[in-house]
Amino acid sequence: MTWHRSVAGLRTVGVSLGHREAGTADHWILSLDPAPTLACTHLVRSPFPHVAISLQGVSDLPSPAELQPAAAEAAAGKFGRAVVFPGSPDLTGTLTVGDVLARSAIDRVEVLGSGVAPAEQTLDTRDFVRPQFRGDDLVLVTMPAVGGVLVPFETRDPTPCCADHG
Amino acid sequence: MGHGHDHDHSLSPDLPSGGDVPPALDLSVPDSELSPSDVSRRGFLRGAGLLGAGAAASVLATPSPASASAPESHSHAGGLRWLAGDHHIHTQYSSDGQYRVIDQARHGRAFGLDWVVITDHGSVAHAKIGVEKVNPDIRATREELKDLLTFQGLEWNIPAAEHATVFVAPSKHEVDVLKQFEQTYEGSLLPATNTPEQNEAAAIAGIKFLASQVQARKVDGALFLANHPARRGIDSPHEIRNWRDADPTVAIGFEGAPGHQAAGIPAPYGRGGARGYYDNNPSAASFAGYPLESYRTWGGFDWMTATVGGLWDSLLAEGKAWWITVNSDSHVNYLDQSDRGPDSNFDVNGKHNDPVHTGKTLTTAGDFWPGFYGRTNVGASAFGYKAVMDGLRAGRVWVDHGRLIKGLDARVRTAGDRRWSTGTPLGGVLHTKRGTSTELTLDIDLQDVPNWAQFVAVLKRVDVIVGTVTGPVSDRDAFTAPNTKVVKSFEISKTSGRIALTCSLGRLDKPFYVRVRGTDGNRTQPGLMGASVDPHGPKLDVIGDADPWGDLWFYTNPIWVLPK
Repeated sequence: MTWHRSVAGLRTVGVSLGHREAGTADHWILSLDPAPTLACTHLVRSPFPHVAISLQGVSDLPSPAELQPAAAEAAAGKFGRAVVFPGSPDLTGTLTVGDVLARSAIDRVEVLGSGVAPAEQTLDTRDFVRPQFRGDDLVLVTMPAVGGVLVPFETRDPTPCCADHG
Repeated sequence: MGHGHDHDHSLSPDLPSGGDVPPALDLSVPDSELSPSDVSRRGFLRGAGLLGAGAAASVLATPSPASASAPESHSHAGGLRWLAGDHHIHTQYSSDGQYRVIDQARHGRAFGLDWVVITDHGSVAHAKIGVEKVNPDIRATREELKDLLTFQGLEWNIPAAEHATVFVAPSKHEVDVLKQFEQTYEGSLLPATNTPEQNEAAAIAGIKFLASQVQARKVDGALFLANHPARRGIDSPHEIRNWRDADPTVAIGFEGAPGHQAAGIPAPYGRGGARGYYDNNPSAASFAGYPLESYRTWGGFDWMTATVGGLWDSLLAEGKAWWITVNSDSHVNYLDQSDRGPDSNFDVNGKHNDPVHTGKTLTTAGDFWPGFYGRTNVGASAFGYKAVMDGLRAGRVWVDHGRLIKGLDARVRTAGDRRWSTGTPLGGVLHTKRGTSTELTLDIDLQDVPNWAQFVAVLKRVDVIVGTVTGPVSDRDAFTAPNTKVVKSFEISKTSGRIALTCSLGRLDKPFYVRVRGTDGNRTQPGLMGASVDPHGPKLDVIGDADPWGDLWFYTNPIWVLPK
């Protein structure tokens, strides 16, 4: 189902608090009350590599002066990774690709390296769905997983650098 | 000592060690001062768009036989001996490791390796304590295991990027060189306020420092190989090019496949994770141009290598000598029953206490012992430290997983020439006249010995990959090679003995390179650049369901063919 970003008719607010990791930016976004209608993370390089945020459905939020350009970059960003989006609370448990398209603003589900996923394919959301905008399209990239299901490309807890591998 | 098979051929001229630019490429030499053959060569290169900045630092600058030092100077009386090794191994001197040097070395030797590099993580504790304290253990291992070459190295946190193996030839200065390098250039020790640009510059300076130590004769060789390059998307294409160009005699390549190959074994028998621990997402430090595909492994290999027409090919198409390897990255090994010694204090001692037997099987460990699964096979002139480093630097290297094949001899030849003493080996450059017909000959010894999973691997398909050499790129962040593709596939039906394959490379009309890949054929899909480029490429590894023994590949390094 398509909800173009502009269709919501809401102003996009950029904010940058210098989060180094997407996970901490996600946490900040999910603690907002009232919740935004759309919230995305954006990877920015300046003044240092960090994660900036764009929001719709909230009033202006201040960013530190040195991060205001990053906040503006996020507000204008076309490739945001969506943390909150229309229908996102309903994407839990195991669904079909068709369910995902019907219930949420996600426009397309793809399989990494293999193109568009068929509507009847089963997707285990693992309760962690982070689609990404490509222009006006919100795309969820998935991968095959154990048991012949798809799972989102992004995992909640990726192996950190120099993990304790035991 | 060497297993597999030995060869008794002389070698083609190696890549130059740098410095001497052939006249045809040296634009400060006017056409009028060139010999007629160099004028012709320059004209050809100019016509092909291959002249200009950067050409001098590529295989395009290798001397043609007419101007090269006599081939005899490169002959090796003993011929090539293929030595299997692993340049990425951790011990109790890594905060996330646990084994003694001798534990890793003895297992590596028992599992068939001829050489190993001990690469504990660069860190505060390692720079201060471990880099020195590990050395007596390494020296003792050299004494104990005389048929294993045990190098000392470290795993460098490359400033602004991933990790890299850095190692040196054994010498009385080996610790001094590594310690000074680590204390000056270790990424985790640099100021946190550094900008990415400052860190990238520090990485280049580190590689140049290693070269300076070789030039000062402190050590007889120093090598850099980037590890798990695509894992987190933070080795940008321009950084890889910059490392290589900082000193191509030191920075010679990257891991074609990461270690941690047991990490995808399904639960409950295994960790149920991602092969290689490749389960990351783009971060703010990542190169924004990399697609999501780059963050996963394909047939166990890193996307940079696994993609025909991808990043590795983009370097080869430039004429940059850049080699791939395969390693264990062993920290804690699958199905081992030991644990770090109790009461360890890594920060104070620079090491964990010696491991202890627990009786508890490590089913969730993601690593294999060195030599158990992957190996880097180096064509060396002899059994020795310098010969291994020289072979690596020359790119006489092929790699495999699960002992897919027993041995391989790949050469580019003038069509029809089957003399044992001729042919250009892996990593080499054949200079020949335009119009000459060339062909690739492949002699593959099929596997007849079980691997360490107790089955005899079966080779099903061999792919020949050819790319046009298009010269230096204008965009140093380029990571595609549009003129590279699989040109020929051989279905292999024979299951024992030696197979001899020939692939015609046609009449030479433009410079190119050729490389080879083979598979057990169990898991394939069209390549990421499309089925017309790679109809049967490696398949995306499934997180949580990747039996590494059911998906085996070998890859060779390239051979270039250039017009005289």
